[in-house]
Amino acid sequence: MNTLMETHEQFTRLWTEAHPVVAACLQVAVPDFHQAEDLLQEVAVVLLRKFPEYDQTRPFVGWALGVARFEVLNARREYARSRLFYEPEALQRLGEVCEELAPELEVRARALRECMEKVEGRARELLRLRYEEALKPNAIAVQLGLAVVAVRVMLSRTRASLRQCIERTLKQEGAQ
Amino acid sequence: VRPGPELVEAFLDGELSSGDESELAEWLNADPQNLRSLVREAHLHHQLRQLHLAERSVSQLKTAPVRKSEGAHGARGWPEQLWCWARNVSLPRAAASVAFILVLSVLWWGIRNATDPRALEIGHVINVVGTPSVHRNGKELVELSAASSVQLGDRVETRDAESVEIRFNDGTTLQLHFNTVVEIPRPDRDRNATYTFTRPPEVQLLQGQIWTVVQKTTNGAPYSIRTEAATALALGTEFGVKVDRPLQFQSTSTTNSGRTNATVLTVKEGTVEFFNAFGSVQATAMTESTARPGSAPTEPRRLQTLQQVRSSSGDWSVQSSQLDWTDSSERMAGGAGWSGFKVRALSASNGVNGPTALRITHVSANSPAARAGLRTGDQVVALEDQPVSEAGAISRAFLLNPAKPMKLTLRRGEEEWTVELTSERKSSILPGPRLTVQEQAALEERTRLLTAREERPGSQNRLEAALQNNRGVLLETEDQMGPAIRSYRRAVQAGPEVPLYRFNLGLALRKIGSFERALEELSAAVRLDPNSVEGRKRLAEIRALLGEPSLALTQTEAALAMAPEDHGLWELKAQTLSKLNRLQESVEAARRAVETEPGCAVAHRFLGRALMALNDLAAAEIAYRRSLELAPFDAVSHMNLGVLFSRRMELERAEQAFRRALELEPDLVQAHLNLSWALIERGAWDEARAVLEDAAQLAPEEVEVRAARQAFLLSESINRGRSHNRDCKFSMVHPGSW
Repeated sequence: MNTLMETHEQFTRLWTEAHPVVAACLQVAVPDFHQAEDLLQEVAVVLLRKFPEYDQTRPFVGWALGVARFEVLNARREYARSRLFYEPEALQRLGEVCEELAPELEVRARALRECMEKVEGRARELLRLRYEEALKPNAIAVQLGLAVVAVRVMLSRTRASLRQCIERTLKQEGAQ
Repeated sequence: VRPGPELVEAFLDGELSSGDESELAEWLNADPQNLRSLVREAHLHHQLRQLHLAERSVSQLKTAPVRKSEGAHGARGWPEQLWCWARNVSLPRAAASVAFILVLSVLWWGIRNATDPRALEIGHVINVVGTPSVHRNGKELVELSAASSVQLGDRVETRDAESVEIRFNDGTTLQLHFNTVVEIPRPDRDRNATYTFTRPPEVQLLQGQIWTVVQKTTNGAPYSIRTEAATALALGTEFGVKVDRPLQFQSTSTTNSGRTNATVLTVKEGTVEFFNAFGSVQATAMTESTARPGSAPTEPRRLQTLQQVRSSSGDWSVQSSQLDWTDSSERMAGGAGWSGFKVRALSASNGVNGPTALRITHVSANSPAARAGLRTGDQVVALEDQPVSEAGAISRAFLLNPAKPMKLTLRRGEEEWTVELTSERKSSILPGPRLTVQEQAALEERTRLLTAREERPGSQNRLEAALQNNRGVLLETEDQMGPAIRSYRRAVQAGPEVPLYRFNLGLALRKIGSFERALEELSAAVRLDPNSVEGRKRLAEIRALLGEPSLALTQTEAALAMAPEDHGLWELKAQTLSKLNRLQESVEAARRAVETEPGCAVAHRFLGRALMALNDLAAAEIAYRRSLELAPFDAVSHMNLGVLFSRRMELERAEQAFRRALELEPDLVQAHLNLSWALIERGAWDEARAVLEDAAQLAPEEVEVRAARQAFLLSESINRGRSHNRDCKFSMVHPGSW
């Protein structure tokens, strides 16, 4: 097996682990799903290109978040409608928090998968429209013939119950 | 002022006004924890998005043939359209009616022909184990049996312990192993009159493992097996393809980059072109190549044996050792006999050659066997004055006759003698079914009469469910995992609330490598019996196996709180702590394991390893030697002792220990690597190269193997031919222990 393939494999392995954290961080900087996903793809390409520069003694997720920060800074005119994370310092702080939370987020993701199995009926449909179809509450309300406020409340309650379920699962795992 | 969490939700839903944004900025600045909450919430949004996208892609994948068939029947909506059209062009009503009927007749004829099963038939089922399903035209056919037809467009699925063999019309056979899904796509051009295939041009392997023997024809149409990662194109050959499921639990379902299921091609005869977008290789007879998404297939490596990949319905690629009867006694519904010794067919000369004999390989402390004076290494000659040559026969006798004295004839050196051994009656490890006294007696009697070969239909009867479970245990002692799993599953179907059945099914699934399903069943067992130490222990083991030592540790500690004297739990704790690099604690846990069960070889081995990690070589040697006293056939302990010698640079002894480990277990990859290290140290380059090549053939993808080979090449180019000067010698991967 040649070195290039090994590098590729190594990168794929590291990126698979770091990807959800970087994605969550980008979701904060760029809340629109499609834009965040485009940006994530760009970040992945840049990371692969720069992978030979990566210092293997440092955590990969930190390096990936650093690269992602520069990509956000470069693309902020295009993507950032919000001013919340427009400044380099704010992005820097965000990156640090993401890196710090990386291990926790991995565990939460696993718990979420279990919790999702318990969501059914109207709540499930709402989540599907919001996250699979990427519709905003206004559009969901039109599609379902409901008031926007009702959609917002239902979405909020569903997410709250998911959050509670995640916490419960983590506690149970901790207790087992 | 809206509360912070509400603002966060609005922000992530893209519904924050500029005024709200200032409020959110203030809220974020007010407390550093608030930014953490925002990141957690964004992560939740992202994960929900990924889960839904993954779900959609899976459902699209699963319903692909169903949609195709819906398309074929889509003409049913046309009559209405035609009727409207006829009315809109103002034709006289009668003429419109005639035209409508005519068109309808033509359509009906067309649809009937297009869905004529004879035109689509591509082969027949010739062998079925279990109840696999076939999806055709959006329906699931449950009555799949030998001689059932297989059509273009079918999707065939097997589950735990099931298999199907299909013979296509040209004689090519396709065998699906357990938990496998294939689709036989119907090519678009087939819609007209080209259903003249004698075998499908392509079979899509979505999950699992298949084996195919291709009919050799000079003008045969191309025949290929396609997976997500690569395509194997064959012309006159015999080969197998499997989609390797990622070991890490649920790691790949949510990310695009995470879909890294590798495809492994194994060729027994002929040549197979194995390719994807990144490259192509030609795999010839007795070779294996691996393809991953995003990279070209690996260069085919030579295989010495196909035993592990060629598993037919009764020949599973078992990943752990056969169930022995000391364990099986606790897994029978209603309990069974336990004598506390293990027996294996081994060569008489403590090596790999020579005649085999049944030898005692383990005697538990405080067991009937220990009290009767049995010792490790004793040869079992006869049972009840009848010569025995099968370990299973002894197993069965003691298992099914609890509390009954039985005569066992043993040989130790030249001495031969007979002991009377009475097995203890053990109750099941997890609660079994609640049986009346009469039912219990009937169960024991009927279990004794059970024959492993006899297939028993499923039944809702409580006693029948218990019998299914007991039959599963007996089959497992014979290493017949397929039928055993089917029996356990029937028991679970008939008694879903019985923890023992779930537990047994979970352990059997683990053996065939179905870890996620095993986790489900074991979790169910623990849910049904939350106080089960054994259930929690097995859950912890699976977690450790899935690369989650932290979770494994918390579960182990919880189980230890209930059973502080369980040496297995201390061993598990030592192992997980060592994985977490908490070495001192690992030593303490291993010491507890040894104290709790001084006769357990594995506990001593763990202690040795933990001590060696702490560089206490003298104490580690004592532990390893004790382990080998108790289990002289344990290859890993020999290897670990060799590692200890290598640390002290006692090279000759190290090499000898590694060679002994390989004699006992020729597939022990780590021992190959360690031996190559010892050989290089004494300058035997060519021999070291050959040993490394063996390791590479056994595990070409192992990081350690690749690293060792690279280090070897590098160091050989620098050091070969020089005088033996340790100062300028390379540093290869140092021997590793288990």
